[in-house]
Amino acid sequence: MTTKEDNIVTRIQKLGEGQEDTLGVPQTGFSDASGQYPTQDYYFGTSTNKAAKGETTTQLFSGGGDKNVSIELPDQKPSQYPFNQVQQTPAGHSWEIDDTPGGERIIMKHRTGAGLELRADGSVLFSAVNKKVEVTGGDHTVIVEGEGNLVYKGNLNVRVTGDYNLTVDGNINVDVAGNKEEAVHGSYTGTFDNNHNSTIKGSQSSRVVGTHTQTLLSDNYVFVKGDQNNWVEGDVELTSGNRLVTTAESEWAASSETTNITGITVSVLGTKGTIGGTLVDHYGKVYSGPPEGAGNGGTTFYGTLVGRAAEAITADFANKAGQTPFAKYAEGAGKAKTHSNGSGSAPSVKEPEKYETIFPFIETPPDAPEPTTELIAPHLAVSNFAIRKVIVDTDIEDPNSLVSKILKTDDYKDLFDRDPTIDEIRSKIRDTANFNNKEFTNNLVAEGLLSTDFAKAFDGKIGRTSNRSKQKKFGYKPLGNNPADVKSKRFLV
Amino acid sequence: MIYLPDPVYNPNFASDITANTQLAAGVPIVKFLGARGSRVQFERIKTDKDQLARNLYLHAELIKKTTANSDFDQHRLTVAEGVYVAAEKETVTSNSTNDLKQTGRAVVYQLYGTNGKIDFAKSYDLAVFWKDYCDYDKLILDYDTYDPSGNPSCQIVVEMPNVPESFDISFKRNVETTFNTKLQSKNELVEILL
Repeated sequence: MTTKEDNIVTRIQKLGEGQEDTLGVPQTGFSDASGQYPTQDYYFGTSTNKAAKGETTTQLFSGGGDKNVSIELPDQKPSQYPFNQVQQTPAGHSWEIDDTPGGERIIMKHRTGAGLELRADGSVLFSAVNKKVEVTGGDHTVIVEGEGNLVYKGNLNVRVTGDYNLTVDGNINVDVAGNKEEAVHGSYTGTFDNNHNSTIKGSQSSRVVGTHTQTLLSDNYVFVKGDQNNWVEGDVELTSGNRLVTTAESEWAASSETTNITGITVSVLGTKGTIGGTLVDHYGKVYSGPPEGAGNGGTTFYGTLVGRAAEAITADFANKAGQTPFAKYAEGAGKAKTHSNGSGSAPSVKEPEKYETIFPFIETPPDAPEPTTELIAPHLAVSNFAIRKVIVDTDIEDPNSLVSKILKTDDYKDLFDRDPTIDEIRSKIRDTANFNNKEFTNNLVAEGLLSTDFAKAFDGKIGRTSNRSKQKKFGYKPLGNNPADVKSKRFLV
Repeated sequence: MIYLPDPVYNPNFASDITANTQLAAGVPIVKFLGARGSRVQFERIKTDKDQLARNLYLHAELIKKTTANSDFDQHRLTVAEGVYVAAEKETVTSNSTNDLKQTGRAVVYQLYGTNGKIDFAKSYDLAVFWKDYCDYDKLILDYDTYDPSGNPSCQIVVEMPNVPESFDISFKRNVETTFNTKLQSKNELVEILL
């Protein structure tokens, strides 16, 4: 028999032909001249391949499944002699064509465990212990009638030089532990036939170089718990097809070099304040106010008043004055402190020159109710123009409860900011400080994420035990050349 | 003792440590980042990357020895908890497993069968194999009943020494068995039947 170690030409050259002829002849008769056979597994037995007799089943390397990913194939029925044709090389490669009824299969196995197996039920197992390379010169089509699982323990790079068309008749669920980055060098179009919801636990920002247009065909609500700042370098136009109400609980300010407020009916009400300026013209029908007089909280005019006043401290022209400290001309004065001829009583004077009034005096009472505090207070509190109370997070006791609910930091004591998986929980409570954090674990239990038995003491059965010291055992690979020694040798590593 | 790393995968010789730096054939650093229990991105790790790579190198050797063992060729050794990054306000107990996970010294493994479930019996075999054939500071065979679905779990925690640039390290080789974080045996691996 020739083996991979045979080099008969070399041996003949080295030893001579005669010696070579005698060396290869075993003393016990029908033994392998090379000494390689029988191998350890076939000592004291027939040399018929054990796989052919069904004593062993040749298996490819599978490497096991992964969590919730089964690669389990139906059990392979042991071969029956003489249905399984086995070819096995000294290196360990094997090729089997098995016709065992109910267990028909073909397997091609490399010594490493890599290979191809076509099982009795029609399943095909392709195993690569190291790299697997597929090269397709033309088209490649894959049709799978069942489910598929892909697990990559390293990176996965997919490059499509043409279009990438993905059609999903169900849902797409993407769970990214780290960042997700997308670069679209063309346009991006998204169409949502139903709702679009997003929760952002951090900040959100977007930069738009061109125009940003948002068309809403229904209502729009924006709730801001903090401040809202809109900074616009150009024009701002805020237009309403119906009412436009702006209220502020503390202060409302509008300022500009030119400010215009125009309306058919305009109301500017307040219990105190200032309206007007040095060069401001006031037009109106009635100016009214408390009559108490200057310095007493009453209505007071400073400057020149053209028209008629029921009472005036100083009037250049007054047709009638009930009392005046100084009157240049008086038609009738019951009492005068001084007069031109110096007598103690009012003298008869020459008929004064009659001054025509510039504006006829017509008493016009105000149409609108007086804007007193009693009127303005309910106006600000309960009317259509009342100041709106703004509370975004309605939990008064915990003003950040909504944030906490979203971040879940309160629920999980700052150890998680989302609902964790059981694997993440296991990792976290590996630290005894977290394990003993009752509030943390109780919340996990309450959420149904951690078993109520998580702290249960062991009360079951135990199986094998092995102490710390290294154990004597049979080797995984035989050492030495003496078959009998190999069979029984125990060793320490 | 001076540990002799494979020069091809010696992190000291790597020009730049990245998530894709190979620590053994088919074992890049990213294998220890995407674990289900501690999913983390390389840029979020604050530990010195060279130190991290050297510590993880010992785990890569462990994985390599395991996959080379035909006893486990129908099982998948999975990193269940790799490099750990604590939450912003979390205080990690010093020298706890999670503390050691931060620097790549501790890694938690699970062994899955072809059915996609943890193989408890084989996990014990693996722990014994590591105990007898591999180097480590501490080996913890850990069982728990945390899963609310009622499925028990088994994992093996392996703690390694801190690896200096010289690779001058020694291994304490302690073993423990725990159940629901509670110590069941010290200096002994016990197979718990759940």
